[in-house]
Amino acid sequence: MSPALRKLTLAGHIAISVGWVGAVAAYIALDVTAHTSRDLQTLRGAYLGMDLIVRWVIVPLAVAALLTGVVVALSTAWGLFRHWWVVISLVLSVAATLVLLLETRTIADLAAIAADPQASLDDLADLPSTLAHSVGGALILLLVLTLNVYKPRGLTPYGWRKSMERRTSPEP
Amino acid sequence: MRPPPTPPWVKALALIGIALLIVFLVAALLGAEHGPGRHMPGGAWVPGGVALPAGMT
Repeated sequence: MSPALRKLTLAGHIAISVGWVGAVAAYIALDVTAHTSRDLQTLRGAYLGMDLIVRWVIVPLAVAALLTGVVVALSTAWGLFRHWWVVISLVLSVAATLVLLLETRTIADLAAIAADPQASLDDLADLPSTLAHSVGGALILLLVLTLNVYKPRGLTPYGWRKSMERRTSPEP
Repeated sequence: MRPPPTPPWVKALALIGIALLIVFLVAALLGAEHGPGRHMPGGAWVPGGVALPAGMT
């Protein structure tokens, strides 16, 4: 990959990943509102907004962040399995995306109930919160972000083997 | 030459991850429902969600 294309991919990955964190923050604001409000219209709007944000912003950003992250890792010397911080970032991102995809269906159900004109304030107020998942997801994303900024030292056994091979191989 | 030891911060994160996984598995074994529809009465969930506003297709 050319340096210009690599930089473009990195810029895209950063924008998408930060956008993912921002979208989760917006989702949490609606989630807190859904958890605390006792106004029917506010509750209805919060659940409908949560569903739209998840389906049209968070899920696409999560998938795109994962894909661009893999491309960035493979196109640089960091690699995908050479450094512990990259491996852990990958595992956490995959886990967060899988939980998100499962949660998407639950949120769609909550929104469907909220969209029902027959649903009363008590019906919506009794819907359980998804706050634990959204806050947990945000913490995971912040941990990944921290790992990506600090890049703590530590080669995996595979990365160590590759670095040894590079040192012992003759110069071209 | 030997490969370098696994850094302490990796071990700490792995322990936290394994602990969370065990908690999740124990909860699942004890019958706690954790998945789509767990919030719905009777575990039923309706696929599809809500319709998008006009223009968002």
